[in-house]
Amino acid sequence: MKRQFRILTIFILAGGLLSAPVLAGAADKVRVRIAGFRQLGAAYKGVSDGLRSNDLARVRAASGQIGGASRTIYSWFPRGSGPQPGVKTAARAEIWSSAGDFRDAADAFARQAQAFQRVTAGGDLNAIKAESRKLGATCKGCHDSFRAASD
Amino acid sequence: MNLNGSGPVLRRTTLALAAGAALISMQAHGADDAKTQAEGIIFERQQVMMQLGKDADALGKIAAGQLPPDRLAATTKAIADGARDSVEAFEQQVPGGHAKPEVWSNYADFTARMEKFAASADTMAKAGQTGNLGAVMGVMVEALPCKECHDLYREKKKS
Repeated sequence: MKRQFRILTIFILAGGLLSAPVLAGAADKVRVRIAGFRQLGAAYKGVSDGLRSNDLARVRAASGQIGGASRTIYSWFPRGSGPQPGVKTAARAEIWSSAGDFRDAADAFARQAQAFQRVTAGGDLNAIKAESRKLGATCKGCHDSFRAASD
Repeated sequence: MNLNGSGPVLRRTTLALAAGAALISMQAHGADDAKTQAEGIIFERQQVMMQLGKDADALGKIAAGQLPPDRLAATTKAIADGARDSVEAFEQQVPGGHAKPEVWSNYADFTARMEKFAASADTMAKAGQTGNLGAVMGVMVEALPCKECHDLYREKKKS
């Protein structure tokens, strides 16, 4: 009985040691993703604030940041960075189980981010507002399908 | 069957069908575009409310001593700005998101509450600029009537 208990303890410890780097790796990937989305959220706020105050320079700068992020966003979701015990993430498992749909949504966002960046180069505020809403719609589309509701 | 006189009739029919198809396509495109714009408006207001939540959370942490008090002025100003933005965010009456239908059916009451919130948040920001945490705490409850409004006008989040 004592021996069995010892073996079980060794198994549990070994399992813990083996899974630790995996969890740490996943947590790091999630941290990178969160940092990326924080920057993206700040840039989107820059667009909204810039449009409210008619600060076109701010809108253009923010649209550049969004355009840049949109080209890399898909890489923020590597395999193994999804929901799992010990890792806190709002990313839903469907990102990986319906990878094609997620890729389509990410591509739609990237396309709209580029379109938005193009329209900000002009000075037509109404057109910029309309494109920014289309951009917001692509964000929302992805959040609705692939992000867990926050508390 | 006499096809001699059918040319103009056929042309007219074809033109009418083409025009009808174009009209239907334009209407469908217009509906799609309106839906996209509506989704964008909903997303904008969700972002405003989410930022407000983060700023209110930060203020709570300053009050609890978990964040440095030198962030008081910036945080209360961010809340005041966010409150003003939230008033604007609901000016376009687009149902959807977590907004209950009552937002639109009781719109006068809803906007009155939002305006009061913005005014109170302004007062709190002025207190925040002095760096006096006690003064901010004194007006905080009135400046942040979040739950009161959410209970009435925001759909319960799914667990």
